[in-house]
Amino acid sequence: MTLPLLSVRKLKVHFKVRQGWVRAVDGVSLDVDEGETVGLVGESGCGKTTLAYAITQLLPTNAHVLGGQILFGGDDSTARYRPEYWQLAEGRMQQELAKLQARLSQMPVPAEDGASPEFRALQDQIDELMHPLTITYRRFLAQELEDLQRKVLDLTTRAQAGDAKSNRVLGAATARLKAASQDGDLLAITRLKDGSLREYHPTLNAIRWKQVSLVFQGAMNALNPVYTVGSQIVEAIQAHEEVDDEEARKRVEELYRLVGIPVDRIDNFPHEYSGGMKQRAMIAMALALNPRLVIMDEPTTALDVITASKIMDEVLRLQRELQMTLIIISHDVSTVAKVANRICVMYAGEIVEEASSRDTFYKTLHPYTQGLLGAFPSVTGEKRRLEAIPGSPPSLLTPPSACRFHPRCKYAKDICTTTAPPYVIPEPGHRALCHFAQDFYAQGGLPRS
Amino acid sequence: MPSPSPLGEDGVVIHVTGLRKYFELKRGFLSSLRGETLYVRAVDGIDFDLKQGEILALVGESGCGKTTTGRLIARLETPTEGSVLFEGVDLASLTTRELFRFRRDLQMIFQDPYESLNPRHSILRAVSEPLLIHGIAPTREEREELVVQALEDAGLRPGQDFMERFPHELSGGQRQRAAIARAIVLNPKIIIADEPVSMLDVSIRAGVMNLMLDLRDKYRMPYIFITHDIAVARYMSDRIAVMYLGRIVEEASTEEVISHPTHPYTRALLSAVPVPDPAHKYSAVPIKGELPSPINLPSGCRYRTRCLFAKEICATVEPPRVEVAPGHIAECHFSDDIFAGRLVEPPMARLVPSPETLSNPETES
Repeated sequence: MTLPLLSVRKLKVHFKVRQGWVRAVDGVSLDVDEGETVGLVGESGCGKTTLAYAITQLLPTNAHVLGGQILFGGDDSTARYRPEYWQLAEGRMQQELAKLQARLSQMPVPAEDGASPEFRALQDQIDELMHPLTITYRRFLAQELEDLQRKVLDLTTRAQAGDAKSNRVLGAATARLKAASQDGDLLAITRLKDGSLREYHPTLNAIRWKQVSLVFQGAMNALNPVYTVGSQIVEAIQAHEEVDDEEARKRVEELYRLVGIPVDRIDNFPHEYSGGMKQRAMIAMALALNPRLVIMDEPTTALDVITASKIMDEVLRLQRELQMTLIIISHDVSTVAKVANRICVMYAGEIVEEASSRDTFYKTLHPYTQGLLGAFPSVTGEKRRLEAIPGSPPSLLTPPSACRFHPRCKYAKDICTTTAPPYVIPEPGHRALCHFAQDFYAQGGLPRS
Repeated sequence: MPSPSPLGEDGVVIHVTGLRKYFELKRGFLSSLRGETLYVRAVDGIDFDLKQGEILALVGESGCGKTTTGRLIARLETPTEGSVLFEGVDLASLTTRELFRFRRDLQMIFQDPYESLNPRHSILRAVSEPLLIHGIAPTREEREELVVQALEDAGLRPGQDFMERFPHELSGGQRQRAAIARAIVLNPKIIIADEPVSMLDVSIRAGVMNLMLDLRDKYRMPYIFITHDIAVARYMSDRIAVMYLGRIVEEASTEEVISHPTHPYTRALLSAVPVPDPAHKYSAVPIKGELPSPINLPSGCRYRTRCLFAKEICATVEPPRVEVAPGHIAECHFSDDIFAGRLVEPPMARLVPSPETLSNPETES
């Protein structure tokens, strides 16, 4: 059994602003396997960039990670034990949750914004259990962790004393300890609603860029205008690896050939590059340290159609040559469909549908995905009248109750306004956050409007 | 679907001939002593007609001169050469007073609704300002009536509810609708829309495009629709003019351009558009190199540095405007051969498979 390279679980990132909390990412789960390309599609303000920044730990200071985990690159030895401990912890958390909810239901319902401190504290506790953090898991596994630590320590001393049998079981015990403590998680900064920090990942800088790299939105402005492009890539390499100038430069030449920029342009300044070349240089920089995961945030948005198409061709080729694991973020489903194996559609802080590229288009299960696909004019096929999604994307300060898409949805019924929809998984690898997804599946997917 | 130009009249509203706009380049002191002046040739000799009730799309990449063309027609820029006739009258001959009157007949819609509306003015004030400036509807009641009418035409219903609001209280799509209401409140004879939907979110974009089409059907005013997105142009327009470095390289009815692209640049542009279909097989875009500087244009055909068909003649002789079919003009030495299919792009070195065929090779058909 292998773990996905990246596993985002029930992640919740909210921003504190004057008017309250912006729920940019609100309970997002996503797995990315090694060598796979996942597309993240959504409109501006749906939380897709926040998700990318959370994965790379580049969130601004007013972002609060209120729950969830981002697990990155668990090694295979721990993979077989992880589910066991997750289930154990989750079972205990469910029990605790039930208890807390029972207590909450017995408390008098407070008047509008007049909730007592106890009431709110209880709500916060429930909230945390719904979106448990790594340390929440550890809290519920405290006993097991203590035992395992003792066992590992014990075995180590005995192994050092020359006990061959202890040496054999030591590996398994260490793997169990790692699995139980969820070693390998990337995200760990957690700021609670009161502003206190809860945990910090000590090896974060080592992971960022070397393991995960990000091609920023508007990459042409991400280069420093007063340094040559080559020197900026050299700097990125030398910040993480002990290599001398000559070797670093050789690496840059190699990267330039890889992304298709003439090598004699290394010593040019950013303003001497065209938009497409700057974007290629940014991709080269992202690949400089051979990262295991590359995230591209709107890599073609500011580019002209022809340049954009060439950049995507390049991405496609790199993906094939390097077996790169890639998350590609865009507002344009067609661009994403060109490279992605799997597409996640985000709306108002949630992933509303996840499916293979083909099923996203031909077996659409979420009305929002249907609307998004129907809103693009095409140069192929018959010209037909586009169907606009009525209304506009909601404010994430006060998202609609229950299903967040219900005010704009043409299939909405009463249940959509009262009950939050579950993920419906009609077949493996395809899920949709809609009450009626099963019905839509039975019809063979929603029609292309 | 609104049928293309269902109107009996074929009166030409805008007639453009030999239009040029060169921007002088600001240079250092030393080179100015040497006495050389360099120009950016933003628009370099274009001709076209805009007929009553028609939507003409100007399509091209950034720097091709499409926005400058729009501004020249709106007389926001003075042409270096050439003329723009509006209903048969040369705009250059207009007095200040007549120009003022002309502005009432021509309205613009801009790309960014966040910047084109004054944040301190209510929607009522923003939309009624053109009425005040042009002295239409002297009383407040009359003005409000016209504003409500315009807002409702722009899909902001009921109009009364939106009048007292400020731009920050509206969503992006509603703002662009308010900007459209401001453009149509004067009942203009022509609208120039410069990338009106490219800032809008996908789910809202279709609504604004449909609105603009419906308004055209209702009031029959022609549009010049400026866009970089040929798919949007196809949806919106009756006719497409493709621009490249200041020239119109191809012009024809929309479906003709889409189905029989003839200029090599149009062909490249069309093949670069992402298709909303994961099974679509892309071939590499038939174009090479990078956009040359508009200061040092290539000799002869300005597209030749990127063209896969280019021969010696392209470097020395400017290509003629060839009418390959009635109303279909392409500016290329090989227009006829390409149009007839006797000449096709050589296969590009690297063909790109779709991710579908990558992941399951057995589905390859």
